[in-house]
Amino acid sequence: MGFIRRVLERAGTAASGLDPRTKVLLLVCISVATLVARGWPKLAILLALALAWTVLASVRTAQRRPRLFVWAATAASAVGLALWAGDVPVGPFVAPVVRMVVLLLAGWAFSRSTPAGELACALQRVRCPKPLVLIVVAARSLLGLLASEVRLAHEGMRIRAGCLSPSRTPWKRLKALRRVSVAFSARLLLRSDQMAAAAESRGFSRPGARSSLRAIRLRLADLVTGVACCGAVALLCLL
Amino acid sequence: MLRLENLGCVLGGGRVAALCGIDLTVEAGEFVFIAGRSGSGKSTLARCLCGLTPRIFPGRVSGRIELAGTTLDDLRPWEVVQRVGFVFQDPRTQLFAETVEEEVACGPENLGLPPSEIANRLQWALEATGITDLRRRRTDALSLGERQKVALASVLSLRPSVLVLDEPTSMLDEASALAILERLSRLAADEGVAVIVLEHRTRYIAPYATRLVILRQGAIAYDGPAEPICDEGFCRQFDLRHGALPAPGRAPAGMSSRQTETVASAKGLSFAYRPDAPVFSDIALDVCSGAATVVSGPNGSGKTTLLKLFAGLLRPTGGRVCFGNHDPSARTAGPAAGIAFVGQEPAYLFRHRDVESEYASWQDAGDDGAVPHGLLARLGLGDLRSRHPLSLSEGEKRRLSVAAALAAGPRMLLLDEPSVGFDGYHLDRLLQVLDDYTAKGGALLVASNDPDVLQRDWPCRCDLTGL
Repeated sequence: MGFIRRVLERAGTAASGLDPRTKVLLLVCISVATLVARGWPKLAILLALALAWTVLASVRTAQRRPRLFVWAATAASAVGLALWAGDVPVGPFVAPVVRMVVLLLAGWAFSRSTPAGELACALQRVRCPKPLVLIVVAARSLLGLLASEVRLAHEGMRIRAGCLSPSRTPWKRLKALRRVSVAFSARLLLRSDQMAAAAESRGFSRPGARSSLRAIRLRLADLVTGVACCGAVALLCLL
Repeated sequence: MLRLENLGCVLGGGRVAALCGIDLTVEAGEFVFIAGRSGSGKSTLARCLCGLTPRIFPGRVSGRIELAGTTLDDLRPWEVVQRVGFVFQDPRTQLFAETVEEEVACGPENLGLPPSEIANRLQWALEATGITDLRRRRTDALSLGERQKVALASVLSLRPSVLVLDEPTSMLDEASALAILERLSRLAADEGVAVIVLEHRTRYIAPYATRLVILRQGAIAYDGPAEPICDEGFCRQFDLRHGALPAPGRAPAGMSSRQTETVASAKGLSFAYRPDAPVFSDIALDVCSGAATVVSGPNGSGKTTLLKLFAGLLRPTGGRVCFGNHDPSARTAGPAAGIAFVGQEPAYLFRHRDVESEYASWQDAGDDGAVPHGLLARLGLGDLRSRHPLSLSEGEKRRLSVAAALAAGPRMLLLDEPSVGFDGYHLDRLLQVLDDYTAKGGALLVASNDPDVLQRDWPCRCDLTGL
């Protein structure tokens, strides 16, 4: 078990050390292949690929693991594919689910293994305009912010429920829901102001290219992975 | 280095004069503490110094701010950040990246510095704030005190010549606070950085400050040497905390005689956010009616987690928490009723558009007759009844949330770092209000690492150090 873990950790480190442009290519390839693939064998291969990337991205102790529902959806997809492979006519129901799960897994693995700074640097290297780069970085932060705000709002509701009696009539419940929504929106506006202030106090508005802590450059592993990705997608599309 | 001439700032569409006629000059290498009553304009001053007001935060600024001979208005935002670094009051609003390393490197990356220079600055900033061991950690998995250190490191990595810190020690334990101030003091002395610290914990001022400035109602009320801060009369004159002498505490004997029954208890309590990283294990704690219990421990020791377990917001990984005969984490409204929890970010409890209706919304739902009256006035919020809760200062938000929670008449009140943003006057008021709550039979559990709170006479203590 320890041996397997060590091997996985090394593979995980190697995978996360890939050039972010290679990871973008991998994500694009998997997404395209997922959308064009037909039949259970191709979808099974893509699911296995996305699953392997997810495992490699989450195997390091510093990384966060996928949530339980991600594993449950993956298991359900695997079961669906097995039924499909056994000639049970479930293809029309299973295929969309498997596609969703593959995209979810690949997206999760990509976001976990590619820090925002590296991604921004990679996008700049492929000549993306700076506003677009900043939008990508801000979007990642905003997603985290939104998730934490939702969690705090939910926590606030539970705390209020812990010491206040609940609204009894539907009308009062509706009013309470409206108040929660307005308060949540007001908080989001406030947080967006604070986030803008934080961005400005870190020099985000400076014109010109950003640099990156890790100098990004294509290595042999990147070339091999890139060629393998493109080849696999071509095969899946053509066969 | 930094010169302010007749600085004024009007907030709230011209209704509130937050700053008026500020004249201040700070030289390179000076370590200036700015103190003052809650709402006296300290945070507004800090925002004006780095140009965030009026660029981001609304407000009308008048007068002149000069940085090393250049007017602030003539500098573009990214030029300002290379001269003035600003550490926000709430570190949660300052962090962007997923890991500490990315966070600290973010500023230099934006400035387009070469990777070797970014790596040097990263290492230096991590060492300067003593968080080298957190380098690979995720920022959302850090405690608030740890995040405060990360926020400071992320600003230090920009190597500004003026450093403005808004309550940098408010969420740190005493050892961490002293270590940070020691490092800032060395930074000022060795590298000539002008350090401006806005702080309520006055006990830290005398050993480090080269100068003390006190704000009152938006104007400078005192500008001179820091030594008078050790005088109790001086502190009382400006409503500051007086940390050198033990503040009047509550008699432990009186408290213990009030203990009647156990309201909530934890037995063999363990918790881990991840299986390989337990926060604490095997904790036993009884919270009794008519008694106050304080939970202390260094940053990241699990104080907030313990309170959330008692509030039923988390499920223990081992052992159990009982509130009466019920598990507070059971998702049924009935059994948990009677627990009020005011966390480190109290604003998420607010639902209403003004302070008065927010307070009233908690009052209405309380038991008849058991509702305490006049809490708003007692906690110094009487004049702020028409303000939106989210427009209040950090200390005012906390006071409102405590008043609201008490208005609901809970059997058990849980307060997480309640003294953040509190000056001496309001801290005394808060502790008096809490004393009255326990005198009426309430059970109080407070988590804090504020020495001005911990030095009081608490009848029950729970120290999480090393657990």
